[in-house]
Amino acid sequence: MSQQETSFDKNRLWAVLIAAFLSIVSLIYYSVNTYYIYLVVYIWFGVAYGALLQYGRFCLASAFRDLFGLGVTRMFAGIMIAAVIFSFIMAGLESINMSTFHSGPFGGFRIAGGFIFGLGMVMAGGCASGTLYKCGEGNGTSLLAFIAICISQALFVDIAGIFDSYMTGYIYDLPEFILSDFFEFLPPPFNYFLGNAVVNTLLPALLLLIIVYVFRGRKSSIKKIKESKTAGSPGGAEETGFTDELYGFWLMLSASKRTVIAGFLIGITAGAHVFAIEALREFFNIDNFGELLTIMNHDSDVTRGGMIFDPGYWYITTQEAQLGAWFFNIIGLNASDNLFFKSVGVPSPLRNPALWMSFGIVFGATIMALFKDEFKFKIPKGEFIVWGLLGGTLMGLGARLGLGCNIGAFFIKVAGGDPAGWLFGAGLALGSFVCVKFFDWWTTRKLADLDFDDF
Amino acid sequence: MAKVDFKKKEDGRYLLSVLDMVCPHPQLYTKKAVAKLAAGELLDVEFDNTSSGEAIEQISDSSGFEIISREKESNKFVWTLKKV
Repeated sequence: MSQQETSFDKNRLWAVLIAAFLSIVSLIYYSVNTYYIYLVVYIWFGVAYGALLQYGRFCLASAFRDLFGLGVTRMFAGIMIAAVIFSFIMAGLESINMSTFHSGPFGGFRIAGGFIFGLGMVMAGGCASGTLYKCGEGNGTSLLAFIAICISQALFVDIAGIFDSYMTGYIYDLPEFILSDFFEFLPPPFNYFLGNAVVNTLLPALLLLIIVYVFRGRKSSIKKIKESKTAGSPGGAEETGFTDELYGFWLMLSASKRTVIAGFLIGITAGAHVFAIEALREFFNIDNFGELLTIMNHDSDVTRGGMIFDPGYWYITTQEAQLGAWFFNIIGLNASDNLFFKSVGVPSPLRNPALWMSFGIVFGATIMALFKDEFKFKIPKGEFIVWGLLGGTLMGLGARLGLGCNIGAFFIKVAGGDPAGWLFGAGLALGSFVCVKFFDWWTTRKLADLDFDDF
Repeated sequence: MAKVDFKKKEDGRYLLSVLDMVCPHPQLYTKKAVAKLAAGELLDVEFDNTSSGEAIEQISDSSGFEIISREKESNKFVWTLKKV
């Protein structure tokens, strides 16, 4: 047996051991109190997200960054596919009253928050969920970014009452709506499918994909089609028609099969997650996990109103802010006395379901990376320490200003029918564009510093 | 130090080492390094950031290279690219 095969077998054994560890953790929670099945469900959906993200190398940072910096369309297409699939599942869940989705304020702050977040995610080399799955691959730069996201958010919402004033003086006055509100003349489920899935998600996604095809993907797709035509009939015509354009569009969408498969499965998983949490809420007759924590006498974990941050769907940054505040509280620095933490609580990480989902993403990515022999501890070095910490800090600031990250404020919002998600997305695109141009200049400068006498 | 290294190995063959880097650096350096080669010359790219492999694969058409081999050596990828 070769050395590489031995290492591969060891990695697979570690993957099984981590899965076994999570199973034991789940059983312990369940044995302490059956209410914790709620938290356990979050853990395993996190594991599923993490495994799929790692499998598809699925990261929103690369969607915009590689599109602007390299003309690579695969991740942008993957994200759009996932959002469209998820939106139709969400419309179906809305129709049967099994959705946990809630809209958010609509305003220019989404663009500003998205812009800062976009700068940060390109700088750190991964978006909020990308950072977690890359932590699971052993990437130290992503771990620094994760720590910076936790700390920067907790500090930002607590310093000098700035965030409180931002919320009370601006955010609370903004309107909230989803597009199905404008289609109430249609009976359910048509209002949800037409307003939220078709008008808010499918059509804009299709329009953006067509734009990306025309400006980025078309050249490569049409070249391949022409080559295959010429190969089939040497000397034959190389003209292309509308059918070729449609096939070229399909070639762009399916350029990376791994990304398409991951996008498809992530969309389905996100829908199943919403359904599972709503089913549990109905089963326990609750609206929020804080109610179960209160019954279990964990009053210090919940807000004055007995609530806790419990999104009911895929989410990343708020639970990381809670972890930051919990850490500050542990070392004696009270970071909880502000509107943000009064509304989401600062629970113990052991009883924070959303945070367990994040840990699940890390573990899920580790399991998948070990199975594929792609796990490697990478200690951040040199400039990457700065990019990780600065990028994470910018993501933290952007997430709080924009009230969410690339998942909560963009992916989930868009698929749920909330047009505010597209505003955050526009900000993400702008921020990514600026940062990728910066890195383009930076890498050119670094290469120019090398000795090029040989060229 | 995570430092880019780009040097000549032999006539017509170059090495680009972008180990310990994260996205988007390995793929940006690859694109720029390929641009400096003449048609037919080879570039060995050493990287260990898995997601960069996806991007390098996808820019082969637009950057004018073919991936002629993909090796994996103890958590390090070495891909050989040929400028067309």
